[in-house]
Amino acid sequence: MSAIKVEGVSKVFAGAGGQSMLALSDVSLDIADGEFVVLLGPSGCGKTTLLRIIGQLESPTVGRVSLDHGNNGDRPLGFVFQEATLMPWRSTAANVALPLEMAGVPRRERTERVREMLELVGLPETEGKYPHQLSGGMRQRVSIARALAHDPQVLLMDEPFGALDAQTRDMMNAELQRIWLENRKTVVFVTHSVSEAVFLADRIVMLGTKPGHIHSITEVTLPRPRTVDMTESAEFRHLAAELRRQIGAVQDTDNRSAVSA
Amino acid sequence: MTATKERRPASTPSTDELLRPPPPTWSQRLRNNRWLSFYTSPLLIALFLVAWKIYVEVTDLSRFVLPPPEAVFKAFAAQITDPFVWQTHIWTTFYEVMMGLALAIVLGVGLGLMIGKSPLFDRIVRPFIVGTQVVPKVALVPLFILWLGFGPSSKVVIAALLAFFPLLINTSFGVRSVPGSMHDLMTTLKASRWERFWRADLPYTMPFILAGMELAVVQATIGAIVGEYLGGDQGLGRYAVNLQNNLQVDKLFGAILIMALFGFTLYSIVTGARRLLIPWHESVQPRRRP
Ligand SMILES: Nc1ncnc2c1ncn2[C@@H]1O[C@H](COP(=O)(O)OP(=O)(O)OP(=O)(O)O)[C@@H](O)[C@H]1O
Ligand SMILES: [Mg+2]
Repeated sequence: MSAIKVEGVSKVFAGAGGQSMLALSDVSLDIADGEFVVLLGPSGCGKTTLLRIIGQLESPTVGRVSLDHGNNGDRPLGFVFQEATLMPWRSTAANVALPLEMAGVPRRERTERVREMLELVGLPETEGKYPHQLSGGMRQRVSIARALAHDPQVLLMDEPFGALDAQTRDMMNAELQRIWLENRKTVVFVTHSVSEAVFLADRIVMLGTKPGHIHSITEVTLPRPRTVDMTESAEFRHLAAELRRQIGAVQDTDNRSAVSA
Repeated sequence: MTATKERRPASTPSTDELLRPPPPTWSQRLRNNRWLSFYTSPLLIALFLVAWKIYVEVTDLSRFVLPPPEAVFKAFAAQITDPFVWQTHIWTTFYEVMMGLALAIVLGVGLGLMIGKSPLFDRIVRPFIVGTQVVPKVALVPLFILWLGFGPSSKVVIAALLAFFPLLINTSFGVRSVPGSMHDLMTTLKASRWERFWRADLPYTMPFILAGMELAVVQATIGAIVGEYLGGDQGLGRYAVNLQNNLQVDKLFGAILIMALFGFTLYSIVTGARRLLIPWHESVQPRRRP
């Protein structure tokens, strides 16, 4: 059963001075329930745009997107934005509690859950702090805790670990995999990082630029749970090298078309 | 040698030492001293009074033009302890300002929110709102007095008319600056219109509303007092007119002092409200940079 169905989606942005630009062209994608899909591609290829369309923050110019939340009916998604997007007037704990408040979870249960989530992202002592008192990486982790708080079935993540250092990033990747293995959410995860993509994905969707389109889809069959040690394995490195080559090719054609234009 | 040498200064401070705040410099101490104005203000006022006294003595001015400071103080002390002044004048003006502000908040914040939310509504009503502001408002005072009489209600309307505009402008600007990402967040959480407003728009706009309040409280005070000057039977403005007519110049100065203290008190209440209502906001945080 597919949880997310993207059918023939194109997106045109109306630019300044009546100049419009084609950000996505004829993208079709079926994502199965409980699948971990990674969108990979060079900057500006339309990863965020596609994710926003899937999350129904943007409507496609052509085509359609259907989201099947299964038996959860109208349950909200978990969305991790490229920027943390915390509410400056809420403390860390209150920010994480936001989706729970809106779902009408009683206060007691809320504090419990918030504590759990903050522990999960490694920030247990920051409960009372305001966002401006946190570092960029800490803010992003709070926003991840918020996205997970109401246990959404569909999780959309836009470069969630972009602001973290390599070690924390590895740790968060492992955590994310653990959470996902535990209750098999459907995840769409955007990243620039090839090794992050290989580490996490069931399937890697490579996007090309000008206009954004699906360049290739790669199944990752490495066994789970994957460990940091596995990133040194031949299979892992082979796959990563292949993907890097593809990104290089995508960017090359991009440069060439830019020159010829 | 390939190993990177760690360079350490001669004496490395321990963690404890680093966590201890460094001794503030002279200028930092001056800046961070919350009570600074409690020292400087009296000093400056004292200087001013001395200059005043000297001027009066040297030029030998008539007491009907400029009474010496001590005469003003005697008058002020008598006025501020006089229950009649409190009951008829200070209380009346306070009532007018408060009612005017309340009206201005309802209208200004209410309309401001609507204007901020709906560009269409903005375009329809803005010409009329600007119209109420470009007409010299003081020119409308006789009209309101004609309609509503010499009592407080005409002043309430004037105070509200002056105070509502800064509230409206600030509120609509605030609502409009709510970042798109905040709306995206609310959308992903399937927020209703009301939740969106209550959990995102309103808290985000709060600092803007309070900035508007700072202006509004001053405007409302001016509105009420000018209203009383031009046609009232009670209130601080009327009191000043009476004193002028009786040539009680020392008491007139005293009345002006009361008005100043009155405005100052209201203004302090609003700035105090900032700390209470938006403790998270930058403007309330201790300053990190000079
Ligand atoms: N609201 C918008 N209006 C106009 N153009 C837009 C808008 N949003 C995105 N674009 C354009 O669409 C293209 C794709 O943008 P998008 O943000 O999806 O890229 P991305 O793949 O997420 O890049 P990055 O990895 O740098 O985040 C870009 O060329 C961008 O300029
Ligand atoms: Mg992006």
